[in-house]
Amino acid sequence: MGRSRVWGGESPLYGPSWTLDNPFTARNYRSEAGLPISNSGEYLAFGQLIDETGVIYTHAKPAEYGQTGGWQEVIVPDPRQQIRLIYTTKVTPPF
Amino acid sequence: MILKMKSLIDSPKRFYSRLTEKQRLQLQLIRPVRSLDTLYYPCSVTLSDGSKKDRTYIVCAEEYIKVWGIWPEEDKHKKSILIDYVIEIQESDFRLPPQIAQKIYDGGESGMGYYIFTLIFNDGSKQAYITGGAVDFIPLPIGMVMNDIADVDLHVGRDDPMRMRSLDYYWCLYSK
Repeated sequence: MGRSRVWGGESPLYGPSWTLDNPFTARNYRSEAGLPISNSGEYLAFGQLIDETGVIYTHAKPAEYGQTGGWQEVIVPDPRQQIRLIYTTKVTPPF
Repeated sequence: MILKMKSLIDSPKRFYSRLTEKQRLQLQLIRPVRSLDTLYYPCSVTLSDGSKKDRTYIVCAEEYIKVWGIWPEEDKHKKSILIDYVIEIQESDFRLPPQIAQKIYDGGESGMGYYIFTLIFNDGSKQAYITGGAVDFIPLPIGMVMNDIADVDLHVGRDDPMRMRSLDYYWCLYSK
């Protein structure tokens, strides 16, 4: 199953927090996904979850004041081993 | 929104120098932290021009790029220094105690690309933080030093209006 992660700035490509939904379908992805100011949102990674061990499905919480959160969030304990990266690309303008 | 479909996975490898014997010996004295199978050495470095960078991560380039995805020299949001100019590596007075930082990394992200945590000090006071993917260099409340930190509450402090953010830091990469 496909998973994506928005990253950049002080937020690395790999981390446990990914999402199931297509970020481009959000009205305001930064707010709904709860991206912090330090995540520049310039890059989108897309990968395939190849190991469901320990994976938790939840909803994003706001990182900054005024954000809504609520976007589907998938927490992958060992993302480098459990997600096969398919591509990562620059997004213009950033999320 | 337009996608520039240039894959970063295949971005060309950059050249970084290997550690000198002196650098290697000095780095051995720094206790690293580990996150996603990558070792980070938060330290203070002195450069050949005499300047000192008290908040620097020395990291193996091959490990760094697998986690961070883009070289620091190609990212306008990151600061970097070349290992070639480093003449001295020392402990940094500005890093979190390694066992505290390791606990934060082991607790995993609080959301997409960030950590939230609350430090507990020996006098019982607390301070909340939000950082990016590197947690080691943070400001402390006035009058506190790193040795005053007793413990950390993971993912606590999200709604704290007084929470603090990371301090600026440098990346310094070397090749295996």
